[in-house]
Amino acid sequence: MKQEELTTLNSYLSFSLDQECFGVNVGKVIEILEVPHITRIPKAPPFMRGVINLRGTVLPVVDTRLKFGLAPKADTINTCIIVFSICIGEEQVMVGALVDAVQEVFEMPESELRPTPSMGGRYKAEFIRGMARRDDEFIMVLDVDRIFAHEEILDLQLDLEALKA
Amino acid sequence: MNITIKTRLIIAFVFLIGLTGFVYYLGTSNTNELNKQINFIVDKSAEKLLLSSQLAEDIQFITKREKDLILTRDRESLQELVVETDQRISEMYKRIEDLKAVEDEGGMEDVAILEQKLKEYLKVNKKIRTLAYTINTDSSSAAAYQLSTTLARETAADVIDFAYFRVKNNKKELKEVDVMTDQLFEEGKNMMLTSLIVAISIALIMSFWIITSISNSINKAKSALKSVSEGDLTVQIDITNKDEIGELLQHLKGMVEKLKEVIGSVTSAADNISSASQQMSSSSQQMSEGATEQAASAEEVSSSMEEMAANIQQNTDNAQQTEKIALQAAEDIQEGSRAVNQSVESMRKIAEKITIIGEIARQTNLLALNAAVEAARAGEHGKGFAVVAAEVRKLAERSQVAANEINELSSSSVAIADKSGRLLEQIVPNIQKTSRLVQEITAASLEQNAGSEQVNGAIQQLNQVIQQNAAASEEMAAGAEELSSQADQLKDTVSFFNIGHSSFAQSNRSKSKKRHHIPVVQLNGQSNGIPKKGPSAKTGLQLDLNGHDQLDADFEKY
Repeated sequence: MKQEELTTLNSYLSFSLDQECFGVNVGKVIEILEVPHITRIPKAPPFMRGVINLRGTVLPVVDTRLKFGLAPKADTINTCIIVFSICIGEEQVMVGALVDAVQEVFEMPESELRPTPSMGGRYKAEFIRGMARRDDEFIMVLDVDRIFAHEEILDLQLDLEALKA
Repeated sequence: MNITIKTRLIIAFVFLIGLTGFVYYLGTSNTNELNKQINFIVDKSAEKLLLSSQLAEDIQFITKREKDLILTRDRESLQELVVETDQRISEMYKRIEDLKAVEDEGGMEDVAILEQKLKEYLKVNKKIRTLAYTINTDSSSAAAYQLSTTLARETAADVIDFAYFRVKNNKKELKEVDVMTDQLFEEGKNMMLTSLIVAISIALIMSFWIITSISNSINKAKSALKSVSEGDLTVQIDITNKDEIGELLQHLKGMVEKLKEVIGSVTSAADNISSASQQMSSSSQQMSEGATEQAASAEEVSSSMEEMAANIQQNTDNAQQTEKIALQAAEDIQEGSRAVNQSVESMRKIAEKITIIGEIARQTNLLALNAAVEAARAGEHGKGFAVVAAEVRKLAERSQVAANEINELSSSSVAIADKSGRLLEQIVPNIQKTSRLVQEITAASLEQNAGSEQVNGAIQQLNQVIQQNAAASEEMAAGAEELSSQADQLKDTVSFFNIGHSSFAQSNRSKSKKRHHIPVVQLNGQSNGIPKKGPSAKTGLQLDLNGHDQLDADFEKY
């Protein structure tokens, strides 16, 4: 399936972080993993949990709680890693994100996405594509590309590649 | 009289001894005097007589020799005659000396005269001797003869006469002495006779005095003793003299007084014994009855004790059973505890398994999510699969929820089972303690059982003792009767003595005789059906058959 098609999908994966519920477009999600052994990387920024071995590929794992500036919390049984495929420029990069729990995959037309109220808050509005209403709660739909297209991750990616080489 | 017999006898004997001594003194002095006279006779008068007569003889001898001297011519014979004559003369002088030694003053003069005369003769004799011996011629002899027949004869006769006069004189003296001794002897004899008569009369008087006083006193004592021996203690003993017999009478009086007291007290004691033995008899009969009741009570107690023993035995059995049950319960509870522990373990295992199921459900959920993601990414093509995946996810979620619920439930039930196990384990020591306590109860009741058996034995012994007591008290009653009769006999015996108020003892005796009753045994069934033995076989029983009870109603009375 093509990248364009994928981005236009109306299915979202919802997950919870702290007490909030977030959603991402299924097109960005490659798979969901249980938390395996994470190899820590020295001198990496705190939100970088480390790397894991995903079927031969080195996958950097980001602690989303730290990334979002939430209090760190020990992993539970429900803690999962969501493997995202993000576009940095023309390049497709895989990044693992530690989330508290994965909830479900749901369909929602694009029209139901409401814009984020510009009133500041905890999360930067540029990372949020919109708010969706699901049952009685709001789901913040995230723009994964923007969140993870960060220099540090890129640097890390580069470092890893260099290490590999 | 206050002189004791001893003193009296001493006085009498001393007097008699003194008198005897006096008589002895008299006799001795008399004999001494006589002895003196005899000595005088033997030593002096006889000596004087002898010497005087010898002197006379000597002179005659010398004159004879004088004649011979004149007649003899032979020188040798003359010599011999001269020697003989000289010897005789010296003897004569010696005799005169002896005479001087024994002679008294009057006699000395006579002796001097004798000596003078002797010397005159000897002068003549010397002349004759000179003529006859020294000259020794016929003429001288004739002259001598002349001289001899004249002067010599005269002087010699003078000496001889004087000597014989002396002899005569001495004989007279002896006669005087004889008269004197006769007089002395007579005097002594008379004196001794007088003193003897006096002594005999005094001895007679004294012996009469002593004998009469002693016999009087002894007669008094004899009569008093006779009265006492006949049992008459009322005899009056008056003591007049204070000699030994008087003392004896005094003591006899004391003895009679004492005897009187003793007899009086013996009589009263015998009375007391008699009444006391009556009381004792009745008391011992009461005691016998009491002992019988005691025996009945002891019997009841014994049966009660046996019942108690049976109860105790039952208690023991129950306690033993309880102990067994408690032990069984403890075991069961331990078993239950183990079962609970096992069930807890099982539940834990179930919880584990459920956890696995939950894990599986979670993984299934994840897989379903992945599948859903895949399906969503597949777009229109994955729509059906997405539905399936969603369903699977829902199922997985439900199963996870269910697993969680089961987990919770199992954990809570594990907690409950744990608690119940703990409780059961807590119960176990309590039940064990109960078991121990029950064991102790068993032991205690076993001891009680033994104790009750002992008590039973003791009561049996007590019963025996009571029986013995009953018998003993019956014997005692008999003994008391016997004692009473003995007391009477004693009184009879003692009544031999008359102590002045015999009427009292007599009346007492008759009274006691009257009191000598025979115990009445009433056979009217009032004594709990236990037959009473008679108080004694000796006295017998009086049977009172007039009482009535229910038992008698079954019989006809004739």
